[in-house]
Amino acid sequence: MLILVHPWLIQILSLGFWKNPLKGELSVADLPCAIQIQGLSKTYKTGFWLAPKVSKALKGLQLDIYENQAFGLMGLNGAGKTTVIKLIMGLLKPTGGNITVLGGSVSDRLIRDQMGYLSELPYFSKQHTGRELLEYFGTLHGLSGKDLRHRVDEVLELVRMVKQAGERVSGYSKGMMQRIGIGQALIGKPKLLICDEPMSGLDPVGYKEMRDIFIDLKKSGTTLFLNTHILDEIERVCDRIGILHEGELKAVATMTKILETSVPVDYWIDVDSGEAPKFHGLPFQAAVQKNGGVQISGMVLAETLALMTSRRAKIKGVRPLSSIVEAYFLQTIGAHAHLRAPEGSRA
Amino acid sequence: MSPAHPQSALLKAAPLAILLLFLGQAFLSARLGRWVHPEPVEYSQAVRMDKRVASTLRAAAFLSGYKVLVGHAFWIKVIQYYGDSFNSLDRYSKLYDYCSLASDLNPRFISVYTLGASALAFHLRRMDEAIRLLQKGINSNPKDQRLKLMLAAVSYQDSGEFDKAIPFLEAQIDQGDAPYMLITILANVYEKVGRYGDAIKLWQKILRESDQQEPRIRAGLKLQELYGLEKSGKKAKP
Amino acid sequence: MKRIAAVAVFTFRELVRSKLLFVWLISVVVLLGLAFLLSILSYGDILNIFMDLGLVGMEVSGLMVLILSLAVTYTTEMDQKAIYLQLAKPVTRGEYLLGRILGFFLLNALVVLGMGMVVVGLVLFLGGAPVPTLFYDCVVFLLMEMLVLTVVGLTFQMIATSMVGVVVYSFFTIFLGHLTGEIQWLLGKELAPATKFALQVVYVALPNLEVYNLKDRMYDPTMVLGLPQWEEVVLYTIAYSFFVFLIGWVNLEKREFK
Repeated sequence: MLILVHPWLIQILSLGFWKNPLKGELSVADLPCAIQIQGLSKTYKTGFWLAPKVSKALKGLQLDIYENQAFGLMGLNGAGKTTVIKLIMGLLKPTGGNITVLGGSVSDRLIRDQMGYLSELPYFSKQHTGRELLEYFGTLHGLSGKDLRHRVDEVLELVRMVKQAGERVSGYSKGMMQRIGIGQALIGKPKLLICDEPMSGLDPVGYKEMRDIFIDLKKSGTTLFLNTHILDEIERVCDRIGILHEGELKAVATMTKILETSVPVDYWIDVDSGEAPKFHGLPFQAAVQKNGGVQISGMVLAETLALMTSRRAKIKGVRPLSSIVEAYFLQTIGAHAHLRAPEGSRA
Repeated sequence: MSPAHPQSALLKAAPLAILLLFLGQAFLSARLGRWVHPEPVEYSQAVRMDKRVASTLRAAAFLSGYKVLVGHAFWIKVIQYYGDSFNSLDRYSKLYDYCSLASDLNPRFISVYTLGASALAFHLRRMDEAIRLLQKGINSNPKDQRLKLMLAAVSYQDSGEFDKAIPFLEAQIDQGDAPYMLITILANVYEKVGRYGDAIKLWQKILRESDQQEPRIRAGLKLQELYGLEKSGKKAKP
Repeated sequence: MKRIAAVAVFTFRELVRSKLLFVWLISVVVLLGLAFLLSILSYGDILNIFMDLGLVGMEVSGLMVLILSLAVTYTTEMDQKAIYLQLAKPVTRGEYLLGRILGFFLLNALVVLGMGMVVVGLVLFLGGAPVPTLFYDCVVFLLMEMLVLTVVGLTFQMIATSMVGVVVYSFFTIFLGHLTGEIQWLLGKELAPATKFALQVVYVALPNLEVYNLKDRMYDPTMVLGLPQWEEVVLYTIAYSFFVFLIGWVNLEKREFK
């Protein structure tokens, strides 16, 4: 019997029944803070100066990012995620509140020396080669001579750009630009890495490579702050997530807490058509499909699997019909979740 | 940025530094301005104009495609040259050349011919140059009557037949927008032929209408002279 | 210093490798060809006229390359946001601006000196007679003018919100900077107090580019160019450049990148 399960499924099964979602921050008071945001607000004034339009991009944001953790910031387009990152990086000035990064201010050059930043859709001078760009950014970090060359080689190896290092940026694809972008963010061996949509423009291979880089960085003790839409990235890389909606932080929780408290999602159990009758007569509601496969609520997943095991049913795979994080996100921002059978199923 | 940060201190000092540097560069600029222009601008520019510059200008104008623009700019310099009394030392020897260049740059600009010819003929008594300039103008503007009238006036002036030049000069002035120089020329011709009353009217016109001090002073002096002549009934010297 | 040098080299390399130098090469051929043609059409010493017009060509090509560089890099740095990643590095905004100024000036110096070498080479080849010392003085003055205009142009780049703004402000600064004599003349006339005040502000705020216009005074017998004049011109260059640089730096510090 081969069971293909989602990586988080093991944890889900060990946690038991679902509880109602909780809002609020998980207390990890013992961990030092990489970024401390207190009462952060940002207001934009646009239009004619005599009658300006005022729009509040952020309203009193309160957030702590702990060291050696990966934090994912989620939100709809226009929620203010990039604004948060730009405020952290000092590219924007806050209207109110303050931000402490690695115990100091980002305007301090020495603090920035310990940081790496990748902007959304990074753009580089097309006249330089990848190697020259990394050497330039490395020089800005104070590297020179052999140390610089060695570090550049290291980073090129890390981001899989060794072959294209000698080519001009004008010939790079989107994915290559993104990889060079992450390379320049890593050139100074940062303690804190801030990325705005790092997976943007990457193909599946590039996406996997980037994800592996993030996981390796996290293991080596680098603090990650990721602004992303990609739920899989959040689920696989991040330890904590924050949900920003209309300039307000709606929720901050660890992945564990999300799994404990998240809304139930439906699951799809893949079985051969001959096994379907074994799913009849279940003591709880289950949608049994004619051609194989059963859709059941996550609340009764454990019991269903236990029952099927006892009936010696051959289960080919189990997968959630929607992401747990997605469900948590949608519930937090108050949207409706539409659950459908996965594409390619024999429903 | 923390208040104690050195960058913060530099930024705080920046406005004062900007003000001090602004005052410093303004002072130096004023000093250097006197080095660049030791004399009043018009004077120095008029003196610096020479044949080589003029011919370079002609070539540049033709090649650049901004002939008329350059022509107008150059015509201003010609007027400044003629208006600068320093150049009277050599009796405005380059006036014909400059008028000729200005007409090359801007052949349709009638004032070049009328003013130039007036100055050459009636002031400097260089009739052949004046006639050449007018003929050049007539070739470029065959339908323009003013130049033909002017040519006739200059020709009569040349032959000493001042009274025959009068109708042509009057016709020029009647066309309107006649330069004051032309009016003074006609006034002088009236005086030469003994028509003091007509001369007085023209000098009175200049006194009333000119916005420059020099022609008005000259008009005042001439009127005094003419009132005396009219009273005494004397004829002016030829 | 290392960071400033790194930004300068990065900027210089970017500009040299862009197609701007092709523009410069074409301008060298066109302007020098024009100078040669005009010197033949004129009367007088052909080689002297060629040198005069060669100096004009050097200034024109330097200004053209400067304005084009400012326009092109504005698009890259501000519109395409390449500046974000650089300002996120441990380099202060003042160092970044200074490095950019140096990079731009290096390119301009290359353009001006390159063309100067061609002029001198042609004059020596055609004429055989040595080039007058005043010609080299003119070139140095031209370089100082380029430095001032580079600082002004990059300051505009920090202030302007569009590429067109950068080009227009720079162009009018260059144009009005050469009219300081005329502005001085106007200030001597009877004018309304408000007009006079506005003109005075324009006169002191703009760079006095006529100070560097040695080529128009080369044949002026009354011109004096000794050590005191050199000192004042160099001092003025430093004072004005630093004054404008501070304005650019303060603006860059306060600028928000939305």
